[in-house]
Amino acid sequence: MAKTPTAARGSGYTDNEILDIYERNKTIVYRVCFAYMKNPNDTEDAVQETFLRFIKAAPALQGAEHEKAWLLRTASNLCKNRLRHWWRRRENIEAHEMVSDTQEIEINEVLECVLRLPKKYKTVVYLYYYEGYDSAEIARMLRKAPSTVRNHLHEARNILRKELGGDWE
Amino acid sequence: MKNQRIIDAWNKIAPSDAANRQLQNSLLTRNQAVRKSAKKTLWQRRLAPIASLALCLAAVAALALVFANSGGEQVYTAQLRGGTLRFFRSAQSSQQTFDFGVDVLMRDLTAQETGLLFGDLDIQAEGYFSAVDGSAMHIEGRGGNIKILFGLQGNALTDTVIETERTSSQINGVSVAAGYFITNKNSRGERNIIYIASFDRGDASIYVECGGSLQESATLRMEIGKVVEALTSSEAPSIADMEYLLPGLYRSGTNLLESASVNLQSDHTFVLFGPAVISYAPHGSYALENGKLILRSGGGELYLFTPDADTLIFESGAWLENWIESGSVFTLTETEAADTK
Repeated sequence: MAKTPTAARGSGYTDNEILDIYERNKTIVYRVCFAYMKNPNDTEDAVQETFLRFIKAAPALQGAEHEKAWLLRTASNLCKNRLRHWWRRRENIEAHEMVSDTQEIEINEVLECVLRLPKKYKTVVYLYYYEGYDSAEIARMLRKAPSTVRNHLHEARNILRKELGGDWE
Repeated sequence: MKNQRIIDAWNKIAPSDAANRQLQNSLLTRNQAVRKSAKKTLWQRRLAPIASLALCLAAVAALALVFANSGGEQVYTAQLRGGTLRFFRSAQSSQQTFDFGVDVLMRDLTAQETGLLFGDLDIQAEGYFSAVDGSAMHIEGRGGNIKILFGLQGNALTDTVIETERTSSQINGVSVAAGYFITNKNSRGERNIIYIASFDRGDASIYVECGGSLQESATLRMEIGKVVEALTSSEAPSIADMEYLLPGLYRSGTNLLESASVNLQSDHTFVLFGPAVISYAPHGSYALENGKLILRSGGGELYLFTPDADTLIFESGAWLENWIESGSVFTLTETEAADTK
């Protein structure tokens, strides 16, 4: 496992450290942001902003998992805030097709359904089903009560079962 | 076993090579700027943005007086009971440093807190509190087209700066700076207008924003006018008195015989009750320290919780951990009754 340097607040990271952190976490952060933003352009903006905040905050971390948790919490909160802003409410993102000028992303039926889940379920569903974390680990990463995470998973499964059928554990 | 269909679907989601390169370059540029800034002394980092903002506002105020007399772009007004609110057109928005400087805890405001800050306005609000000591730093309220921010005076309220050539209006004796900004056309060929107003009251700086279609400009102007009227005519708020921890009774379960509870009081004292078989009920003082709730009993015991909005997650503590599992959630079941005078 790559060693994560611990940086005290204010001292910052070297360029190589930042690139390492980005490479380790870019895909998971991208996928979480995509779950909210649903198109590559806005997703890339959100990913960039997440890592820029990391650079600015230079948090004192205790390993790669702590680093990932910090980035995921920041990405989720940032995306939720952006979606709440008034000019996004006016746009009604749900009505837009998911197209990109620069990149085509294949969205199948399952992913469409996951992307339609309520905001509060998205990160939890991604971390549980894709990344393989259990509910206790997710609770610690997102700083939520374990009961909240279990409730969110339960409700998300109900929605997925209803829309897609099949067995969702 | 996790569902393979979701795994297969997500495998296709990843940044493109071009996006990767662009992101890496952007991060390196920012990192170099941050490291350069980190070499300045602490007081220079803290004072520089405040000093430059003060200079900016002074220059803008001077320009605004000239601008108002020069017959330039349109100045909108809203006639309120408390005065005439004038909105000057802005230039373009930019970004400024918006950083609390400490880790923060966030929760929704209670109905009582919302009422104290926003009065009868139909607003949902959330608060950002210092994880160091639980004190309030920033409040964000939204309702319809309106966004209202409260922050401690001297701190930036938002990361977007709309450069306005604006001067103050006097509304209910409060000096209010107001402006508006018109966006470029969106994908549907429509333009939007954003009205803003900012002023100080009590220990807070207040920022109000109201935006929508340019065609609804007059309606939006009156909407922000009503909000400014309400906030300048009500009692001055004190956000320094607000705290992250909500006083009240937190219970670990619904079974009264097996559950434990902790009563947090607004004077920062507590009483802790174990399951019914335990007669011992320690009491003492509590504090939020670096994101953790620490209860210190008069007998020298320590109990540690992680607060999360209206719940407390038990971590460890003296005899209690023999009865209540670490990770148990104590939920706020009764808030402390408000004092009546």
